[in-house]
Amino acid sequence: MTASWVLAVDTASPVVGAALRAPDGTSEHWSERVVRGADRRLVPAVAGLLAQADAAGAVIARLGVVVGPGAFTGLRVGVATVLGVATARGVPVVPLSSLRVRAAAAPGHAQVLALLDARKGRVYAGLFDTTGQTPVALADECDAPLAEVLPAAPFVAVGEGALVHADAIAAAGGRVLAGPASTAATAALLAACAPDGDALDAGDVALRYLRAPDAVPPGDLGRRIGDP
Amino acid sequence: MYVLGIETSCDETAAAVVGPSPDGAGSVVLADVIHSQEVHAEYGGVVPELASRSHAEKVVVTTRAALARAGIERPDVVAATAGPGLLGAVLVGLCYGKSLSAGFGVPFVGVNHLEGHLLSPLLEPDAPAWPFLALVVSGGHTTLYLARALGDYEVLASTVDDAAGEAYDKVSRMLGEGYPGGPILDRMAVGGDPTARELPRPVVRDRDSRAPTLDWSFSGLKTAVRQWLEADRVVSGADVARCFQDAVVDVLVDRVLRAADATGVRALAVSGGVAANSALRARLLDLHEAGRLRVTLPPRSRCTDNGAMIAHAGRLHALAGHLDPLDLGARAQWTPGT
Repeated sequence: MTASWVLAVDTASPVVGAALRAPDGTSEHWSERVVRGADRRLVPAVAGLLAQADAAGAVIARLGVVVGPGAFTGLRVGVATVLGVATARGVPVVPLSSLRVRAAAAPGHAQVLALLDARKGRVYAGLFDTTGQTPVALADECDAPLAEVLPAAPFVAVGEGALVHADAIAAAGGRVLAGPASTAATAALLAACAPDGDALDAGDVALRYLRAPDAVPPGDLGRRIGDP
Repeated sequence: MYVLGIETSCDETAAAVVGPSPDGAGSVVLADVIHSQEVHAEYGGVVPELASRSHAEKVVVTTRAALARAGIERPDVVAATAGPGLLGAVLVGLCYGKSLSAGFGVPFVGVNHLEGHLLSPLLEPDAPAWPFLALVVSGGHTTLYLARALGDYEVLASTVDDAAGEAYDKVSRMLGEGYPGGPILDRMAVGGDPTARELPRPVVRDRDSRAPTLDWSFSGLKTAVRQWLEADRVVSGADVARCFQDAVVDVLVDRVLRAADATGVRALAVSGGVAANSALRARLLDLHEAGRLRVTLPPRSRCTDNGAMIAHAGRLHALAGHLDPLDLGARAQWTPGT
């Protein structure tokens, strides 16, 4: 584990958050449910945590940010905010899965199904074993209907998507666990624990949408009016 | 004061650094880096989600390149476009710019994209003095302002439907040509016959008095092109491009001249992507040489969206003490000066 200060952000769900983790494992965190205008709340919160670190004479050695899956615009608000700090301070960034972060907050289970609501009747899902120090993926993260990602019982389900689909999860033999007080604080913990190779230059950080844009090229492009 | 400007309101990811001119009286561009998104061509127009994704991929490398070219490690101020534009696209640059300012520990200015265009001719050696007429004409906007001072702008005319550049895109598509339509039709028009067909020069009338206003309408012109193509399947694309372009330039110049007569202001600054159009530039320069207008035309590279105009507008506002808090939000609609 890196014995240094870490600042992390998670904006994959409507509850956005930021956290500052000290080398001794204590953390300051902020989170808020924001339906619109997450950037108006997030950037001042991140600036406040930066100021707090600066006032303590701390040097932030690593940033963590949830890069997906999740709501597209929300993810970009968080990533752009972290990239700004990374560019200004020259600090590397650990990109994190929203699903792994949520699974990490439920340690000690052989099967943790992390879910985020993906709308259109689908979920973003990841299945993890959390009996070790950090979550181990048991399957690729995916964008799918809930029925396709439910594992054999017993399992626990976490994440905002689990709350949305609590009845179906219970019917499949799963148990829904409440989320952590701050997913950003969990993100900061995972960023602190990540091996050095996972910390990327800001220019190399990529979002993981798991879903392509809806755009489809129009069929009449390149055809002049009147042409058959 | 050295200002880093970030622009992501549509399909250009841009960053620039603007600092003091050698005499200290004005501003000079030290670096201006633009990444133009080509992904939209196959869709025939900008796809907002693709634009946002591309901005998130390119904003760091673009910004670093601007800072490196300018030889600046830490700007004195960070400015970023806060609107108007595609909201998701604006948010990338705005969040990045705001957190850059927090990371550097320097002030932040949220810039109105249209004001950035409007003020960009002030970077030119033949910059207009206040007051001046400012024609901002692009794929998203067609507006004529009376600019009296920094932040004091009166809208004299605007389009009631399509922007001029949008009409170019749509006519290009009708002809089976590509996107963006402006430069394509501009090139095609060179060989076209201007007398092939008399296309309409639409007039927008006041609802009550029925008197002509200074506003524009391009949808009727676009419809006329469509009807022409439907009726005549062998007409040359060059002729269509030439007649369409002549009509667009005619109505743009007509309103500018009428506004100059009405206000008594003869200085005109032109900006926006359509300001790169060769026919519009030629017509305006003719009027300049004839003494009817005093025209400032930025180079073509400074007409389309760019970071320099955002850094420049941000610098002017910062020098005037106009700074913004980090809770400044993005605005899809925003009239300059409000």
